[in-house]
Amino acid sequence: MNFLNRNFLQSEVRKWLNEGIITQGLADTLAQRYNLDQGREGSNLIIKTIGYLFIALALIVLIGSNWEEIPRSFRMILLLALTFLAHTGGYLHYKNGNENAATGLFFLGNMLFGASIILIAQIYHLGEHMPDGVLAWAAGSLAFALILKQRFLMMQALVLGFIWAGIEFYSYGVSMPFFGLFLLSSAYVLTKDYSPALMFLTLVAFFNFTFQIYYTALVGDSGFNWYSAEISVYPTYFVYIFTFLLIAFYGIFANFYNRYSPVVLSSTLLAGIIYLLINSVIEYYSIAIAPPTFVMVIFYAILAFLAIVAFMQRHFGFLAFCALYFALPWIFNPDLFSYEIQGDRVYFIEFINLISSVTVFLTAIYLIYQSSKTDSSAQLYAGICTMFAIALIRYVNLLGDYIGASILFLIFAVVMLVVAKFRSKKRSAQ
Amino acid sequence: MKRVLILLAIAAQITFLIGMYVNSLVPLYYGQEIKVKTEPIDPRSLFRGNYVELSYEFSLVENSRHFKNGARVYAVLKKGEDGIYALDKITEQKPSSGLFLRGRVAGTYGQRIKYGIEAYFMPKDKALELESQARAGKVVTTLGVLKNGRAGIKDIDLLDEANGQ
Repeated sequence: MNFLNRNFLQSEVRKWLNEGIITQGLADTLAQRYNLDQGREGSNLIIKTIGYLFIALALIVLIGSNWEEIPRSFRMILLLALTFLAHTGGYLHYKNGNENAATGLFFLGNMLFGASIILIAQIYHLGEHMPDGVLAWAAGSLAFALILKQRFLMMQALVLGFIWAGIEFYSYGVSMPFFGLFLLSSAYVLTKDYSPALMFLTLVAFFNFTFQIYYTALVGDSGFNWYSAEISVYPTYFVYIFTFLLIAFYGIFANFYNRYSPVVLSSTLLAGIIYLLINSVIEYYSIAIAPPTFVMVIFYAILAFLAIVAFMQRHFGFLAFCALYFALPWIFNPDLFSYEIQGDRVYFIEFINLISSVTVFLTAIYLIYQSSKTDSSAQLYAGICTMFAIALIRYVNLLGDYIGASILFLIFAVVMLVVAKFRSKKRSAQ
Repeated sequence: MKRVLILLAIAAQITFLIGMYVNSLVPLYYGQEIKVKTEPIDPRSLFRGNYVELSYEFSLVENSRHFKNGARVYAVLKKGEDGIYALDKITEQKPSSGLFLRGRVAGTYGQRIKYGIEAYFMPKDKALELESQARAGKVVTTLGVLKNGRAGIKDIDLLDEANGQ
């Protein structure tokens, strides 16, 4: 059974159980037959993994402080032996079918592997290209994540890969297409061992990755600087925001919103924060460049997929949203809001900001409206968070004048009060 | 199959660490020992603790020249009268003989060349002490240099001590 159907069945089984249609025994049998998650038993594993993480951090700090008292060769042998022992312990646990313990020890082994790399670099004063060491660490950890298809190991490898690509880009001005391999691996592990945290990290990493690739394609290898970032970020930022929001909608229509709600919430918030940041760095009149073709291709591919899902599930309201999003690149086409001064093209960023704010606002209302129909608190919070994000942005970067901002806040207030009234009416009717 | 893959992944990590260890020892044991003038600055490495960042006369690219970011270059060195090696020229062609260091260009503006000998690790107080001493006199670094231009740091001293004065 593919994971979409499994998620659907899982939420249905929970509902049936809550409504008393089936017994706990039957729910357990179904869960076993279709390999469904009936409440994760992973909390112990999380605690263990965090424990190992702290052990590793303690070691790294110790190495960082240059523990002169212990002879170098002894330190070297100690770390090599510890790395080997942690991994061997993991292997033995895995062989005995104890996967949780194995995961924890592999996680620790990977951290010790990194600590050993750092130690060798320190003892022998290696001032070579520092990100190479981080890459080796990340690649070594990725191997375990892929072999075991395990979410914690994947998170570890993804974070290390993210740090590597980040140092390369922000310190050396080079984007690393190879990081795409980490993203693909992460997507693969997600289908085998889903976790909201891994999903969130993957989305953030994806955002950062596409930005780096785009920036390098635009600016070349002249290195990262904020001025050119300002120019290159602008045409892509709205595409990202709407990609995140589309993922949120995708959750609603694929009927596994509850499972995905934490990710949806956090990614919506993230979209809001990114929007805020971009707004704060862009001048009122700035030079901008249209979104690159590949970004638009990805955007339309996602949109087409969602429109098909919505059509098959007879969600015509969402189809209307798809049409709105389809029109966005034209509405936001910077060329439509520009004029030329002495050969330079100048854009009315504020006008484009206004349209994007209104679109995000409509999205928030739609989420809140959906929540009143489905009774999903996650949808409600996602909508409210989206609305607060816009409110915050508008507060910082006023809509031209105080009256405009005040009217916008008033509209928000009215929407929230209407929703509250609608929900309480529905409750009392029940 | 999965078990075999796990064992392979463990073996790969351990082999990498041993390889890195051996690789960093080679210039120190088999390289020609030379001394070069050095200027220390004290930054802090993200992962590797405290270290003195070292800069040499051959670390900087002249303003009149420009290399592609990431390009491989060679610093040809010659021995001075005081026994300390100094820069003769920087070239993109690998020299066929003589003593040279292999480096890579970093950055697009105000380019620098990195040779893998830019970091010397020591506890923070010692690093700061070296830095303040360096303000008064000159610092020299003892390197081990292989025939292919790869180098490793053996030691770091104040110039007077290095000359035995």
